[in-house]
Amino acid sequence: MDPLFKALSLFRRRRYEACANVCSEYLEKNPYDQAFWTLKMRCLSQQVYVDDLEADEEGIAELLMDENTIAQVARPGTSLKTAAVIAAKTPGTSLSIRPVMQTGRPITGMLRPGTHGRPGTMEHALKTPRTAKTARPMTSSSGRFVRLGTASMLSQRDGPFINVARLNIRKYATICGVSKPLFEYILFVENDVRHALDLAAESTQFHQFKDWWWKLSLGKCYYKIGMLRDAENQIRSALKHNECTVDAFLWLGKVYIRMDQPLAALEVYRNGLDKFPGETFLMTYAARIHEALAEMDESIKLYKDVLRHDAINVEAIACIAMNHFYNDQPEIALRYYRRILQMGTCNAELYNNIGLCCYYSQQFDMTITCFERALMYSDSDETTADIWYNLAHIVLGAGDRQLAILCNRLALVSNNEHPEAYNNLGVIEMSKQNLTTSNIQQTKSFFQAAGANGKHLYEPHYNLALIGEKSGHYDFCYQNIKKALELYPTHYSANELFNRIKKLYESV
Amino acid sequence: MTNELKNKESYNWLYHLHYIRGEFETCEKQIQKHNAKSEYASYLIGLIKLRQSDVKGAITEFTSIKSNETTYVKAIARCLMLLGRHSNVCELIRESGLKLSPNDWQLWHILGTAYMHLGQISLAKDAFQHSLQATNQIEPFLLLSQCHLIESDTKSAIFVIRRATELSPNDATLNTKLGLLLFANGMSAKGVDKLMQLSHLSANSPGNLSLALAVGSVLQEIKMDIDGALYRYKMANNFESPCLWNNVAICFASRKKFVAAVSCLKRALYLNTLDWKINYNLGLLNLQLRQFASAFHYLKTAATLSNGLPNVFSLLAICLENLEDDTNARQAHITATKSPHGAFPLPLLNYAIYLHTTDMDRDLAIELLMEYEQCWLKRRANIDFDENMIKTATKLAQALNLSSHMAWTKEPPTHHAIANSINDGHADSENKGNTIKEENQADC
Repeated sequence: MDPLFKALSLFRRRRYEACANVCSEYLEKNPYDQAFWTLKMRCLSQQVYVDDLEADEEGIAELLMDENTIAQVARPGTSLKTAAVIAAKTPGTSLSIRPVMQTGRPITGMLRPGTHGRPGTMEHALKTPRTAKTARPMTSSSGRFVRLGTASMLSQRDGPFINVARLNIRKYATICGVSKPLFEYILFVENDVRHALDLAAESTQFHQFKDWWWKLSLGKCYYKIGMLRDAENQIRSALKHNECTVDAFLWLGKVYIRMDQPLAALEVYRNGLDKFPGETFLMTYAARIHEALAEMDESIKLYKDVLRHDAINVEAIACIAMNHFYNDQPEIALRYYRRILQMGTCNAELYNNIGLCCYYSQQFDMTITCFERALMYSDSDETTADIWYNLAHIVLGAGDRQLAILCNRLALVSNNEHPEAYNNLGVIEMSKQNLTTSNIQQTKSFFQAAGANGKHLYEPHYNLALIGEKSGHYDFCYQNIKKALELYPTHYSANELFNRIKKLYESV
Repeated sequence: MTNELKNKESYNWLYHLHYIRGEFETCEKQIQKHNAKSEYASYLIGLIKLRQSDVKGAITEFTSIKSNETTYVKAIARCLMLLGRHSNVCELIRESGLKLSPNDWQLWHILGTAYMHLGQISLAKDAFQHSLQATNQIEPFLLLSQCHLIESDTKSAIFVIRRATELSPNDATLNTKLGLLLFANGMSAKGVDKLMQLSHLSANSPGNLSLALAVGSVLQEIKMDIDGALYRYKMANNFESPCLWNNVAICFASRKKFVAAVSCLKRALYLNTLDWKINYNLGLLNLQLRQFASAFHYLKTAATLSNGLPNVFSLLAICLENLEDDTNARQAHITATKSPHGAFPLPLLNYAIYLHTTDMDRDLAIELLMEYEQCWLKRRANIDFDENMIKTATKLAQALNLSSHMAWTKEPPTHHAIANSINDGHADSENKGNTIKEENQADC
C-alpha cells in the first residue's frame, strides 16, 4: 500500500500515534518529503490540541502588573475587576439571598476557568497559590501550557521533531500548504508563542494581508503574550473579511474581557450575533458577562435563547436552574437539574444541588438520599466540605443544633478554611441559651476565623460588630461594621448599627 | 520673622477653623508646622485621631494634656468607653471627673453607661437620674428606660420614655419605642393610638423598618386593614428582613392567598432559619393546606427552637392526628396541656376535641373543658380568646351536653345559632407572627 495513503487513512480515523509512526518511518528514508512532514505535524498537534478559547486562566502576573488598565476606579457596571459592589436591584441578586464567590460576583451556575478567585491585592495573590486548592499559575505562559509542551516531547524517542529555533521561518511562510500546520505545531506542541508570532507575521505579509486566518492567528499570539491592543487591531481587521468565522468574534470578546471592558465585549458579541444569528457560543459568552455584572435578567434571557438552539447545553441549564433556585422557585430549578442528570452528567455537585432543591421544595424524603449520593461521588475535599455545610443547614432547618454543629465541624475537617462553616458555627454558638463568657469568646474566634478566610463575606464582620456593641466594645464594633459595609453597602441593619456607633465617636 | 516670635497659642483660631471645616489633614499639618505643643493643639489632634477611628492614638494625646479640666477627662472617659474598658471609666470619672464638676450631665451619662455594661444596674440608674437633673437631653432617658427594662420594670420604663417624648415630641425612634412598650404591656389601645399617630406623621417616608413593622402589624392585627399594612411594608423598601417577609405572609394568608403566603414565609425562613415563629407559621399554613408531612416538619422545628411552647405542641398533635399516628398525637396533646409554661387555653380545647372525636375518655374531656373555662375566666380580656375559639368551645360543650353550664354562655348569647359539625374549627389558632424586633444574626 502506498504509505502516504495509509498514513492519511490513519489520520482520518484519528489514530494519530500510528499515523505519526508511519510518517516517521518514511521520513527517515526521505527527510525532505513535505507531505509526510506536514502530516506528522498535524498528527502531533491534533494529539495535544486543546480548545484554547476556553482553557485559559489568567496568571497572577498578568492580573496585577496590568498595563492596560484604563481607570483605577472604574465606573460602576463597566468593570469586572474593581471591587464588585452589587447594587441590590432585585431580591434575586441581593447579597443576603444569593451568595457571592470569592471574586465578589454573584455565584454562578457552572464552574469555568476564571470563576475562581481573582485576588484583590498582591499580598493576597501571593498567599493564595501556596494553598493546595487554588493552584493558579504564576503567569499563563508557565503552568498548564508548558506542561502541554513537555508531555508531547515525551512521546518522541529521539529528541524534538522540529527544531523551531533553527527553522527558516521566512521560507516556510511562503509555502501555503505547510505554513498553517506548522503554525499550529509551533503553537500547540512546542508552545513557542514568539516563533509562532514570527511565522504568522511573515505569512500574513506573504498573503498581502488578505487572509483572515493569519490575522486571527496573529491576534491569538499577541493575546498570549499580553499585547492586547495589537491583538485587538489584528482581530478587528480579520473581522473585516466577509468569510471570517465565529471564532474571531469570540477571540475579540476575550481580548476585551482581558482588558476589563465587559461592555465592549458585549458589543462585539452583539455584532457577531447579527452576522451569525443563533450562534450558541456567542450567546453563552454574552450571558456569562451579564451574569458577572449581576444583570441576571439579561443573562437568563440569553441562556434561554441558547437552549432554544441547543437543548443540551449544560452550562445554560445549570445557570437557569441556579437563577430559579435563588428566586424562590426551587421546584423549577429541580426540573432543570434533573434534566442535566438525565443527560448523563452525574457528579457530586449536581446531586448536592438536587438535594438542596428537594429540601426547599419540601420533598424531605429525597433530600438525604441525594446528599448521601453527593458525598459518595465527591472527589475533592472542597466539594465534600460544601456538602457537609449544606447538610448542616438542612439539619438546622430541622431544629437539631447539635447535629448542625457536627456537620459544620465535618465541613471544616474536609476544608479547614471553609469560612461559611466557621460563621455558622459562631451563629449557632450565639443562639445557645444562657451564654457564658467562654461561649462568647468561642463565638468571637469563630467569626474571626470566618472573616480571615472569607474576604468576600460580610456576615462574620457584621456578627462581630453585633457582639462588640452588646458587650460595650464600641471600637471593635466600629472597625468591624466598617468592613461589613465595605462588602455590602446597602445592608439595612448594618447601616443602622453604623449610625448608632458613629454618634458615639462624634459626641466627644 | 515676626511670625515665629509670636505666641504659639495665637494660632489656635486657625487650627479650630480647619478642624470645624473637616480639613483634618491641613489642620494636622499646620500644627506640625508650628510645632505647637499647646493643650488645644493636642486636644484637636486627639479629636482628629478619633474621627479617623484611631482610639488608642487619641487616648495618648488626651492623656498627654497636663491640665485637669472636665473636657479632657470627658474625652478620655469616652475613649475608654469606646475601647470597652468600663471599670477604668468608672474609676476615672469617680476619682477625678466628678470632683471637678459634680453636675456635668455627660459625665454622669458616661458613668451610667459604663455601669450598665458592668451589670450594676442600680448604680447605673442612679447615675442616669443624676444626669437627668442637669439636662433635658434624651439619651439618658433612653438608657434609663433600658435599665428599667433589664429589671423588667416596664411601668417605670414607659414613664421615663413618656417624659422624654414630652421633651422632644417629634423624635420618631423615641415615639416608636414608646408605642411598642405601651402595646406590649397591656395598654395596647394607647400604644395603637401612639403608633397610628406616628404613622400619620411619617406616612410617606420610606426606609424606616422598625416603624413600618410596628405600624404594619398594628394595622393588620387590630385595625384589620390588610391593604394599609401591605402598603407600610412596601414603604419599608427592604427585602432582607425576615420579620417583614413573615408579616407580609400573614397578610396574604388572611386574604386566603396561601401560595403567596407560603412562598413569602419560605423566604423569611431562608433569611433566618433559627426563628421559631416563622417555622410555626409555615407549619400552620401547611396544616391548612393539608400538607401534613411538611407541617409536621416545620412544627417539629418550631417546637425544638421555642423550647416546647404548648401551642406548638398542640398543633403538632393535630398534625399527628391527621397522619394517623394516634399514640404520638395523644402524647403530644398531653405534653401541650401539661407544659411548664403554664396553662394555655388552646391546647386544652384541642385535646378535649381530640378526646371527644376519638370517643376515648369523656370524663377527661369534660375536665379539660372545665379547665378551659377557668382560663377564660382568668384572662377573658386577653386577645387569646377570639370568637372562633369560643364558638368551637361552645359546640364542643353542646356535644358533651354541658352547654348551659359554661361561663361564657351566660354573657351576650351571640354564638348559639351555629350548629355545624364539631370538627371544622379546631385546627385554627391565632397567627402568632408579628415580631417587631430586628433579627440578631445574619445567616448565610
